[in-house]
Amino acid sequence: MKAVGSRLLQLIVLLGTISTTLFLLLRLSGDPAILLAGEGASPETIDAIRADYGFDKSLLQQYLMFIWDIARLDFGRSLVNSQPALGFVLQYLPSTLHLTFLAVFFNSIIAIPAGVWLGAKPTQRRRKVLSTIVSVAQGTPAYVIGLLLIQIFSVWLGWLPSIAGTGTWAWVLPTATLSFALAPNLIRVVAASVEDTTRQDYYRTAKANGAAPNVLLIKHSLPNALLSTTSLLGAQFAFLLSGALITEYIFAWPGLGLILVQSITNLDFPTIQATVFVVAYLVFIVNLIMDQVFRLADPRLRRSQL
Amino acid sequence: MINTATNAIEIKNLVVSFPTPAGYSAVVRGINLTINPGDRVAIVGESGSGKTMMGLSMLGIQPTAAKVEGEILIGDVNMVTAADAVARKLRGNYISMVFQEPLTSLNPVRTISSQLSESVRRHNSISKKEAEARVLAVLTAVGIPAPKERMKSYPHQLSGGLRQRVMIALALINKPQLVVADEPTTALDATIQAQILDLLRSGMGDAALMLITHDLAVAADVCNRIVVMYAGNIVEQGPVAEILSNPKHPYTRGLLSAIPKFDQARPALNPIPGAPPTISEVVPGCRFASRCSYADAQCTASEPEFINNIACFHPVTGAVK
Amino acid sequence: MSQDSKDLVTPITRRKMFKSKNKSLATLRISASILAALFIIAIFQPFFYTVDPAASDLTLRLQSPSLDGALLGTDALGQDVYSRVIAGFRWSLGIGTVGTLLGCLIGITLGVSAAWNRKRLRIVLSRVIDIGISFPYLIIAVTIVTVVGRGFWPLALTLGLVCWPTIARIVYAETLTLREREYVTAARLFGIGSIRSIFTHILPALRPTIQVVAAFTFAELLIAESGLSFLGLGAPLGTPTWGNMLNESRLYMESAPWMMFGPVTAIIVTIFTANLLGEGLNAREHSRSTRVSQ
Ligand SMILES: Nc1ncnc2c1ncn2[C@@H]1O[C@H](COP(=O)(O)OP(=O)(O)OP(=O)(O)O)[C@@H](O)[C@H]1O
Ligand code: SF4
Ligand SMILES: [Mg+2]
Repeated sequence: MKAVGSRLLQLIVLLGTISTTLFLLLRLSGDPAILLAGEGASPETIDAIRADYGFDKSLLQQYLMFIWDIARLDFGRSLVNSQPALGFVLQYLPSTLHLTFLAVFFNSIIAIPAGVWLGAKPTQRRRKVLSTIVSVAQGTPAYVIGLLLIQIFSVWLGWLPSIAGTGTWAWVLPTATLSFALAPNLIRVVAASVEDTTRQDYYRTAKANGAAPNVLLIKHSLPNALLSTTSLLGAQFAFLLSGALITEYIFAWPGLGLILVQSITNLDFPTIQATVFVVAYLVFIVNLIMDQVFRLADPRLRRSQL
Repeated sequence: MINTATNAIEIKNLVVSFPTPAGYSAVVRGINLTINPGDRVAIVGESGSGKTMMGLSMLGIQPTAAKVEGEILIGDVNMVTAADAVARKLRGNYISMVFQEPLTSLNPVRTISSQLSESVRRHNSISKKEAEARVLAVLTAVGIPAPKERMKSYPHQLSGGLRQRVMIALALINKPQLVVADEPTTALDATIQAQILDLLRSGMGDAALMLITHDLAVAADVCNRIVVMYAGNIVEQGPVAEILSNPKHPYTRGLLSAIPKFDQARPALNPIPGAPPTISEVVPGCRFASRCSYADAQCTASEPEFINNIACFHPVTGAVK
Repeated sequence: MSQDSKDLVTPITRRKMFKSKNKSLATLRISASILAALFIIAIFQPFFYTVDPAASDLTLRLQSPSLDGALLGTDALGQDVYSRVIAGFRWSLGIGTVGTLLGCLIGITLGVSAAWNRKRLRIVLSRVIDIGISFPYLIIAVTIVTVVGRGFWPLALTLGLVCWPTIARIVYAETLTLREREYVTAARLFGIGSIRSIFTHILPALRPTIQVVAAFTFAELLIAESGLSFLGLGAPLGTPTWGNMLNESRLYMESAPWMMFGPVTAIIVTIFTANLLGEGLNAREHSRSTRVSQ
């Protein structure tokens, strides 16, 4: 369980850094009570907040209080609807996870076969296909893709809804947007891993024993290539959460990304902090799961049997 | 399907070349070699002389960049021109290969038995159970202790010596006519090397062996015929006793005098001074001339033909001191 | 021997090799020129305006593109889309440049320090880099921007402050290899101090790698910056930036779809060029190192 410990330490360091930074920035950029109260708040509200948050105390005292609250996962109440911030944010978690899993699923069933196709026989033409896909996708931000998809499929063709919750097919365009952003990288990595296996000694051994091309691919390349791709999936997840920010905003998908954008627009600090913490925790959990999957899938990392 | 009456393999005028900025350059330069059933042939030569490329192209598994010309005849199949589907039926079945690095040469994520039985079932239509019995039998035959338990192991769980035994088992499992072993002991400890050489000497059944090695002592120990390669050519070949007692080619003599002698307190290593020509270098005469103390004008003017088991204008006689 | 040496060398392939090398050099030149042109637009933008990008004429709202009127149409306030796209260059390229410089500064410092030290500092720093890489930095960026406020400098510095992990990791890996190379070892033997040998040996040798990384980071920051503006979290509302313009255009996707065209093209062209530059630099570096090893 050393891996869990080290990931946990990472999480704590990350959260500590983020909250300390926020704490300092908030104090450095003027009167935090005014910021927290939001625009147009009455002087009474501001005073109340000042007392409530202890802004009249010393900086160190404030910091310790702040950390203590956070350590108990008490982020305060949302300034918009007075719900406890964490609970409020967590309501939106399932929706983000839903979108994320859809994206991972469709991305995998499209990008992995494509990557295998490119990597299994890296001819000049296939390389060209690959580099074209990658450079087009790298040069196109997710929101441009989202807007184009809406323009084409919702506005012009009228086939698909562009707003979340407006029909059975509302998930299609957000999923497609995220997949577009994610797929090229996955294709590239899968292709590179598959191609790499064909240069390995065990691949040559299998060939020396008469394995046919499809056997070589399925029984010798793929298990090894997919194994090395697994380590990428954790990073992809972090990327998806970034992408969710924009995708959820465009499609009004009620998830963490949308909540974050809204609470930033409203300067709702407790909610912002709670969201960032939830995202960090998600990344932590996913990395932890990926570590374990990797461990189980690779016999070299399992405890030796003899 | 295959006519094996006469010989295990017959190589005619084999040329293997790679693309370089200056065009295709040959690393195997027109080799002729016949291996008879049950033969034990050692291929010796310095690093880069083309031994591995010759071995790989005998199975038709040379790197994709390589261009292979000439004939490699197994029965009536020419491995150079045969369709992949035909060549595949021979690989691992009629001719098989043992590689230098047993760790990387086995698939790290699959068990020993799954890799061995995959090969058995590819070439024989037998049930899974029968295949596993075959695997167990061959693992026992190559001297793996507790073979039943080892079958379930992954390659990284075995020692280097055991892994090489597994590789040999994989090469032998379909009872091939010819096994090509490419420096099978180089990556192993000295004591383990001796065990593996024992296995190669006495555990190969009816299969002919082509043993690629740097080491004349190993060649003499395991084989009955020695083929000496230099810079892509065969320069001399003959029975072990003949080559050891009466080497005719200056290069062979150089190799022999480089072997440490047991009766000397310190091994007197006499590596041949100089280096072979690079693969893209065009040499008009004998490719060994720049390092040969017998070289004369004829040697640098034209290339000696391989006649009477030797390619040299001035064969030497007498034992090496 | 059966074959003459000459038969064994068949001439071809040379032309092919030259072709691929020239192609990557051409990529480099073309992308560098385009990027330079874009920077010129950014610096001398008033020369490229047709009208003042801030001037709004409500009688000319949502005009479609035409050659004698607004080149790329007008937006909901009757502002000229073309001139606003031009104005966006200064904003985007400026933020990209500042952010990349700051990110490289932090990334190189951390990466080199981590690789140079063999003790605890290395463990701590490489952990820090790992953590930084695993977390979606855009989310940190938006949070910081909320506190420090919108605007050019807040956005540029924030992006620079959060984008270093990838740079640091690449620099770290490269420095590790470099420090094992002989000349650095030799320099140490002759008693050149750590700091000096970093500046005289490591940093110059890192330059090609850093150029490549910087080009890709620049592209990435353009995406991030325009994304934040698009979300309404980057540029002050109403500022002529590509992200803002796209966000405004969302309301008129049916009635004025051309509003998207200008900013989308500008964004894609700029990002694409920066990526191409990165690839070109990478290819040049690659062909150099293979030439040396031959
Ligand atoms: N993929 C390749 N592309 C170009 N040249 C190659 C390639 N593989 C091998 N060579 C060249 O072919 C020549 C012969 O290589 P080969 O591996 O057959 O030598 P060897 O006799 O087996 O040497 P060693 O004892 O080191 O294994 C070498 O000069 C090598 O550089
Ligand atoms: S042909 Fe001449 S150069 Fe070549 S090995 Fe014989 S004596 Fe030496
Ligand atoms: Mg070899």
